[in-house]
Amino acid sequence: MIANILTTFRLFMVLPIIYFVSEDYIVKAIFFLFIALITDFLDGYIARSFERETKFGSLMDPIVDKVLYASLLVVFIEKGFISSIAPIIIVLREIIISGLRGVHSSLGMTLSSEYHGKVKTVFQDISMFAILIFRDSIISSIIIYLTAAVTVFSGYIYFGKMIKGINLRRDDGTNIK
Amino acid sequence: MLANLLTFFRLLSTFVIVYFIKVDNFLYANILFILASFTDYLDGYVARNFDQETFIGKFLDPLADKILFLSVMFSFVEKGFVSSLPLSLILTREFITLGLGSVVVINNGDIFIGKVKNLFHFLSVFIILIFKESLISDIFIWISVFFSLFSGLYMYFSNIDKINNFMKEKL
Repeated sequence: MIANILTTFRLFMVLPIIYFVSEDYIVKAIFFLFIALITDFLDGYIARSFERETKFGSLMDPIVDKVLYASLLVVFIEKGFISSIAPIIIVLREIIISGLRGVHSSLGMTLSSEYHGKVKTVFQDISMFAILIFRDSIISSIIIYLTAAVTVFSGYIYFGKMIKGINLRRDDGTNIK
Repeated sequence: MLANLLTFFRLLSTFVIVYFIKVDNFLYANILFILASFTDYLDGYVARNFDQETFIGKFLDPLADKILFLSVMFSFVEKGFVSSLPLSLILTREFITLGLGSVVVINNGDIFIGKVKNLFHFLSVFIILIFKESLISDIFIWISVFFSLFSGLYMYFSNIDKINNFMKEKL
């Protein structure tokens, strides 16, 4: 229950964070972003240790992560900190994998998160802070392209896994609509 | 097969359109965008009437729409034609519906609402490529946001029983 409240709280923190970035309150933005990441860590920890992990949490947690990250990238583009290329690549990866995951799970298969997915999350988290600090400098560009590469790589592995699973089901003769 | 080729063309043209916007060639961007949007109508028609509807087509077709629209929107934010808030709202809607779709088998709710949404997405890109940063661009983008959120909510409430059942399950 507490974990779910924290996840919901985190979703609503997206608004002040993007507001602070767009109004150039960088310190406040970093502070709130830091709180958001702490709650991200905390809700997972609480869910695993004290409560039972809920379906709500397993569904909403990754969604909130994506909403926060994508919204921040959009504001970064608006502020001129980064160009739109890397964010487009990152968002397309998320859309394609989420879409394929829908097909994959409609066949009754699940995809557990893996090590490379965690690495991707770490890169994305670091890139948010780095771009807030370094703004429109070469460092921000390097970090966002690096993050895009890691994001695509992890997407590529999930993609291969899911296509393999889906093809196995098709060979079984399962009717895929 | 032909239908999948058309979808594939739409995906590829996305990157060319983004390039044209980046180098300020808005006329070429618009022409290619109209062509790409036209293939969207065409490939559904071809798939239903001439080809078999294939698995890859059914998966790729709705994603290709989102990919084209969102990529162009990112370019517009970079150019300053559109502010970040509408794009953030549309992205939030897409991530929530895609996330729900990956845990429950969603039926897409009302097809008519989806079509109206697509129509306004198309019109807003077409208009913004002509009028750039202007009041009319703002009006069209906010209408698009409205229909995105409305169709998302409609989808949510048409699947609310399934979603509630999923939420009640224990891991």
